[in-house]
Amino acid sequence: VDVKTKRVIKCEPSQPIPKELVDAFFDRELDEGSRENFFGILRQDLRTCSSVARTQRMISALREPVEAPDLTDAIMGEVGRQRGFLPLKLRRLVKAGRLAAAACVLMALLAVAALHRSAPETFSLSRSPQPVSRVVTSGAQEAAAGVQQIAGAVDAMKARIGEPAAELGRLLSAEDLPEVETGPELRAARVYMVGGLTPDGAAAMPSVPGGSAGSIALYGGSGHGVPFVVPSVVYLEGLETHALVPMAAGADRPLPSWVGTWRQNVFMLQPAECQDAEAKSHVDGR
Amino acid sequence: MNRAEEQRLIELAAAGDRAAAEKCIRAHQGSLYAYLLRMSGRPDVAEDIVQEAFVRVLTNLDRFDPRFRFSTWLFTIARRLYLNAIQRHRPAYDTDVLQLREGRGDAPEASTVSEEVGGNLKDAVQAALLQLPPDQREVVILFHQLDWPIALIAQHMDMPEGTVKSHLHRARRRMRRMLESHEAHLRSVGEVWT
Repeated sequence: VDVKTKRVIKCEPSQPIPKELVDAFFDRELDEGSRENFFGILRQDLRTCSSVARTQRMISALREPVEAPDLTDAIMGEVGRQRGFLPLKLRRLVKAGRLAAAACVLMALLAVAALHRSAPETFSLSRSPQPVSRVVTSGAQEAAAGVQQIAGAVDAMKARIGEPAAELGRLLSAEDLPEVETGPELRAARVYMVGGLTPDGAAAMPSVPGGSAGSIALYGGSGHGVPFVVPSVVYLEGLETHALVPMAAGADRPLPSWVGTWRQNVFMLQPAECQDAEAKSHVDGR
Repeated sequence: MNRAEEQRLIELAAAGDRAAAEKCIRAHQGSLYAYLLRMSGRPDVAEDIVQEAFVRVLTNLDRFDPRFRFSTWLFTIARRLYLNAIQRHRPAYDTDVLQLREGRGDAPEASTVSEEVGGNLKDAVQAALLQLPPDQREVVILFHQLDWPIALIAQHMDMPEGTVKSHLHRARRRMRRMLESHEAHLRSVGEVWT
């Protein structure tokens, strides 16, 4: 009787033992009584008996213990290397910590993204550079201070231009001009060196390298000429506009910031003064 | 180890008790190694997979479902690792098995089996086992070597119980025939020598 299915496997004494009975025996599905009966009939079927004996030997060999190496230390070492053998509570804390750290990173990224979206200038590198702004501001302040200091010299210059009999000064050739950035219109202009000016507060005036204390630049241009510095006062003539430009001091050429601020510090000559200047040039024989 | 004791060890190990984890390993590594050695015929493969399976199990103890036996879980993981290893090294494994069958393998274990088959039934059984298809081989090992019930084998191998029994019967007959042939060969060798 198959113990599992309760199925009865019949076996006639004169007949060979059915295979299903042998299988049920090896499948451990025969009850105690059936096993006794099976052993009884095996004696009468030598062929099956031999086969069963061989199978039983085979199974016994299969059940022989295998000599296994002890891998405990290797396994525990690998577990420790991978994660550490932490108590469950601590492991949960570690896991929670990792999750929290990941959440913080995510939040930070989201905050940066939101800030970038709402105020992109915060991350913009093209924002107006503070150092240059400071240079421009200080240049303008310096120029304004210089204008105040040389106000008297400018007035004297105006007066001299207005005097037909007075000489403006030495006419400079292009070679005489200092190495400054001169445009074609400036090279075409006539440049006068006007010396001997003694403006008020001359001692306080900034000096120009290579020039004397109290130097100012006299610039005449088309309105967009390039300012420059000379050792003494220079007058430019022959252009549409005439101007006296007190230059920023302390450098042998205009600072870049000056370009942006000089117009605020120009003492524009009146048209009559320009006419006087032209008349004066005739006096000089030109 | 009964089920209650096993469950207690698992809980202790999951709570960080190193000694309990070591006890779990010592309780199961022998049967797992034997299963994998019989399956692969290679001690190095068996060792690697035993180690890997235990590492995976111990690092995921919090996922263990106590409704099942620990050994079932462990063997399921080991089986997957073994099948993956076969997939990765299929050509090498197939070659080894073929050479084992022909008794001219270059691998040390192949030659060892080949040499000892003559006098050692255990090795002859192992050689016969390796000639079975993998499913039949596994059913034989789990049922006859590890004493797993048919129902558990069916669950482990994800196949109906009837299929498991069918594999088991075919495998036994096939192995018996191989052993008969082997014994006949031994007898003929013996007659030549005497």
